[in-house]
Amino acid sequence: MRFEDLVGAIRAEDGDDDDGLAAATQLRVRRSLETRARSRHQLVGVMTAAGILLGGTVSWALATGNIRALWSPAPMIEPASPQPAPAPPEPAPRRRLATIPTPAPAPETLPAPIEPPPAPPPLAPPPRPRAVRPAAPPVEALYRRAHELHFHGGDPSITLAAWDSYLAVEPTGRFSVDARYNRALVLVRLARYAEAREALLPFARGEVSPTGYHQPEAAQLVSRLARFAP
Amino acid sequence: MRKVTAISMPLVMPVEAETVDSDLVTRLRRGERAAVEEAYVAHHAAIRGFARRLVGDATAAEDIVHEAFVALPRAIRRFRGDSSLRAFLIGVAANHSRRHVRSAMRRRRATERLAAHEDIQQRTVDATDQLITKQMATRLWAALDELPIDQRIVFVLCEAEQRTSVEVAEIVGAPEGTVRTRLFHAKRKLREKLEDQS
Repeated sequence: MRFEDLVGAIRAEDGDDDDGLAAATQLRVRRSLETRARSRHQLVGVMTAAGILLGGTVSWALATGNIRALWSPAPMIEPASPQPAPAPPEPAPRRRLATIPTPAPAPETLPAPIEPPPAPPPLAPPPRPRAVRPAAPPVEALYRRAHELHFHGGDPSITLAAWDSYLAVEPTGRFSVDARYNRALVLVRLARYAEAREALLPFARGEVSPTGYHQPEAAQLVSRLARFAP
Repeated sequence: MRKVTAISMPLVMPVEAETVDSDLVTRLRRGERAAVEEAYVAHHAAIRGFARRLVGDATAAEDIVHEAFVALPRAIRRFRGDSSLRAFLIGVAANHSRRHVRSAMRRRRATERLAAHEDIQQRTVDATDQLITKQMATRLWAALDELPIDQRIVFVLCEAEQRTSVEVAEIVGAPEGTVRTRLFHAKRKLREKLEDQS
């Protein structure tokens, strides 16, 4: 048997003899491509949803000040040790927003001796315990509590103590400039004009960073306070 | 399967390089599934023929054809237009043929005895003619199973499909000299093996 005959035998295999097989393979190709396209669309959908979720989470965190909880939650978490009962509640704020929960750990970190205000008007019953945000780190909870007291009718003396508590823990933190400014405003409300003026002076001079933070307002307040606390 | 007499027919594939369907290639690059369907209709017979000559097994050949066309939308990014789309597709099929060659080889060995018994039942002249062709082809495929896959592909393209070394070099993506060397070694080994068998 010659070598060329063997080659010729293979050459005769042309694959043209079965139209049914060719059609079946064409159908297989079509289905495989459809499946691949579907998988690609599903992947795109999942990635889009994940992006939206991530974007929403970051936006929420930025808006609510929880960005620290997103990026570095681990170092902020306190061990779940038995805590003493919260300090006796001070005169409570007049009203509160039900939608913003107040973390529980905040009262524990308040400085123990709180000077009673000159004439604290008992305006409202003590604050009711709020839902605990277990993931919120203590420093953030301190800020949130002070912020809530400050902007939602909290008693000035309690608010001042809350700002002091936050600033004691985080004197140069992300929110410390804001806290210092608000603390100065609380001092004005408490008629402690000399302290308020001294606290506002750096803002009025533009010495805080970011530069110009509430500078016009601070300058106006300083000039007015000068009449009461030269 | 064609009869042995078909061997004498001119089987040189037409040179398609000059008629590259640039529109089809453009649509393939855009990922149009309809373009893949068109490419299948235009070229499936050539791809199937190559696959069958290469592996000697209809089932494995269909798998190669399937994989080549499924891979086409991605593979077409590598197509530079130097050769025809058909030659490019044969190259894609060759790249996907390796594991199918092995599976076809195993299947061929497993069914060798059974096929020998079935062949005895052939009675007509045509059937006997086909049987002889099949036996010869099977003998060569068995010898091809002993070759490295690169030499096997070059042998099938050059000898069974009677393509020029230039064309084969474009298909397999290797220099023409390499193609000739592979062909030389493939033929030498095959002759030795076939002589040993007889």
